[in-house]
Amino acid sequence: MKINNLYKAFEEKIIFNDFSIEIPDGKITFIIGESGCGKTTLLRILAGLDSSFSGQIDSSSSRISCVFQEPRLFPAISVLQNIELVEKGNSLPTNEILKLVELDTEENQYPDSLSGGMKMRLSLARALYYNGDMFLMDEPFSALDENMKARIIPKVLSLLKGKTVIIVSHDMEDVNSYADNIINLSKENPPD
Amino acid sequence: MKNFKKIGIKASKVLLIALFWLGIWELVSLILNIPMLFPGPISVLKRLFELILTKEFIINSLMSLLRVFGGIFIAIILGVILAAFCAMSKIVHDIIYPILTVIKSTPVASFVIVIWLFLGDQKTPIIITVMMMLPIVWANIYQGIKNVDKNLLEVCTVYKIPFKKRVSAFYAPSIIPYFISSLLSGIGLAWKAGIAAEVLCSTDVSIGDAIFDAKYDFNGVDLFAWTVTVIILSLVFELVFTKLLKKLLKKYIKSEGGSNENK
Repeated sequence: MKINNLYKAFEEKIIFNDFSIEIPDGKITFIIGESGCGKTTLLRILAGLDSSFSGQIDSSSSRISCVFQEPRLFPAISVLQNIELVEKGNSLPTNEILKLVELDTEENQYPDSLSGGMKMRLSLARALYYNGDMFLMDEPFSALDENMKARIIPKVLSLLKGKTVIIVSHDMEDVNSYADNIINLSKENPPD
Repeated sequence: MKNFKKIGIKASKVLLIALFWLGIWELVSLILNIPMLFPGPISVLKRLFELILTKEFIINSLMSLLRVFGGIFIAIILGVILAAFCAMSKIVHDIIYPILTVIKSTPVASFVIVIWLFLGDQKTPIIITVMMMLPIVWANIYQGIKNVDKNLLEVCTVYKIPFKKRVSAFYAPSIIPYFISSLLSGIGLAWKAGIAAEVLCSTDVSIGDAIFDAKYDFNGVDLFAWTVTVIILSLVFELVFTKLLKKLLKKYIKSEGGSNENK
């Protein structure tokens, strides 16, 4: 995937100015950098949620699984229904995905009754069920405790082998353990 | 047992308050001493019990209820459709908003006279009910659509969730509390306006017509008995309607379960 001459500003504040970068397809890329350097903005642009920019994005992915910084669950429907709300991709069946994120006993619960970590795992499960060509994940593991992380991350990432995965993270331990490629946005896109 | 005691205490309290106000009513009626214009509660309740047993009472009440219910139903359908269009297009909103504001601020009596001249006594109460209810339903539903969670809307966009699923999982649960609140605040008003329209255009076979006749004949006891009927039916109508709606829309009105981060 290639991003060429990206320009993006919020009113007076310029986030990207003639920014170009190449992100390898089929690899796990971690984006790191200081707060405000444009990590989340870049993910939103790639997800097609922000179109007020100039520049060129060349990507072969049209089906995108997104894990937002907040879980963004639908409160009126159950855990299972939250997953099955999105179209099923070429993915594991729902019960196996629920097992993978350790929510198999919660399928009939409603999001309001889940803890922060559980909500984030549900958001992850929804992304896995949709199984896009590209996965954009903004701090997907930050709400998980260390034990849960150690159990879940390897299983999730092994499922995503061969896919373009872009993860924003502040956790250098995760970055060093799982990244095929690291982009330090503070360096690649220094503030003007 | 404890619950029975609680209910008993509450019921006695309500009864005592009711007796207090009935006492005040009786006292005022005794002081004024013009039973033809201001009868006391005993004669009114006696007349009410006589009326309840008549065929005229049942038919008049049913017809009035039917007209108001019809008006409310039309207002809900129109209100939802208009609110959806207004939320989709600012131009439609800018066109619709002034007319609904005018409707909301104009006295009912002005509309009753004009509509009665064109549509007659049977349709006027229905149209007036629609006019009273429509701005309330529209404003609430529009507000509900505008206040949907933009973050969830982004989830729908990213995952290309089809419109039908968006409505049932996202829009309906977000909008239904606004819808119920519009009914709670509008039903009483719509009922009163509908009856007022019946009185003003003396609609055949209606509570309004019975009130008009009582006024025409200087029959204070009948006037008060029909007015008490309007109040009781309004309370029953509001209670039944909202209970029924809450039951029908139960799956969307999920109780707010507190989030437990330490679970």
